Amino acid sequence: MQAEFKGVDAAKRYDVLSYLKKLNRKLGTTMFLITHDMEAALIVDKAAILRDGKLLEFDSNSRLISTLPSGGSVARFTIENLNEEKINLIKKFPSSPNIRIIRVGNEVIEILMDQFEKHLPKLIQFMMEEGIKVKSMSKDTAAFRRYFQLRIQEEDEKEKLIRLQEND
Amino acid sequence: MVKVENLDVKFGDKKIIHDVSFNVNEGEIIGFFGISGAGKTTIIRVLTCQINKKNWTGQVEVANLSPAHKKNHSKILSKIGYVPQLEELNLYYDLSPIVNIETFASTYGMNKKRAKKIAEELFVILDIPKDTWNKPLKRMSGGEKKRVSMAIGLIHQPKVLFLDEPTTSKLDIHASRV
Repeated sequence: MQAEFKGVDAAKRYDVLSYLKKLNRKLGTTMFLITHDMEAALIVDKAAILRDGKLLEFDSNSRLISTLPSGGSVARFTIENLNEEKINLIKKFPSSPNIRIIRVGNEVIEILMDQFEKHLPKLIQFMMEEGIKVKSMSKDTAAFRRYFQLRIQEEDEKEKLIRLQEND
Repeated sequence: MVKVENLDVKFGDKKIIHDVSFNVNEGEIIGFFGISGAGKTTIIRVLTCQINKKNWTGQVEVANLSPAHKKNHSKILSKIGYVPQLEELNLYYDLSPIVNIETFASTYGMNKKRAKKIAEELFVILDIPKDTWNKPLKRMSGGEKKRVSMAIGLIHQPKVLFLDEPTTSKLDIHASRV
């Protein structure tokens, strides 16, 4: 089972990471962190993302995040009675076909898309027209955790597509 | 410092690692991220001479030495350090931090005086209070124990340090299982 970190002991985790960075700075030791903990990306020079024995990415997390649509700008929406049907509806937003949606909570989704600033007002209007009730919205930049989720999701989708094509 | 080119790892008919390549420069911190079974630990096991050469192919170098050759293993092991996920795997709780360090340093053939000097330098960097250095580890907090465990991994002044789930405690593992 996956280790679950959120809220376990955040202060202790940050403490360990800051001491590792300090050791690295003082001693110059090369370090490999083998981890499930996405917060560790805060101190790494390069992140290796692995899936099913394949190295998907090996680069600095800032460079990886910059490859996301609009450099990783994210809109976080809290939506009343959020469900898969509503998420699929939002995916059909016509102005930005490259829209990426991640569900991050019971009623919360994060949305990335091309030309973020230009398309965001249109997206809000689209949701209103489709009867999707937005309780709150905020803007942010994607953290490494989000990049990792999207990258894995992308591979999962590719694999699903290949399987479907094989079955046809 | 670490070079991996076209690494494949296979156990029987099952291919575990597929054509992995990367380069790590001296002094870099690298994070290996992936869900369970992604292959993180397998790659590290190749780098740390824990997987027999018959199970892997490709070019691998750690501190300019290839783990492909058995004669390099002891040299590689002297240049790398390891910090396990669970502190109790490399700590004796009834012994003091200094005695713990001396015990591990002796396995690298280091004398007590040199080990103590390096340990004290590491303890200062790691903010381990001086009044705890000679008291049993069991009296220390979880965070302090973790830092002593890091100091043990660095006592022989390795070029490369491998850390297995450094931010996860025993409590976290228990929580994830409940």
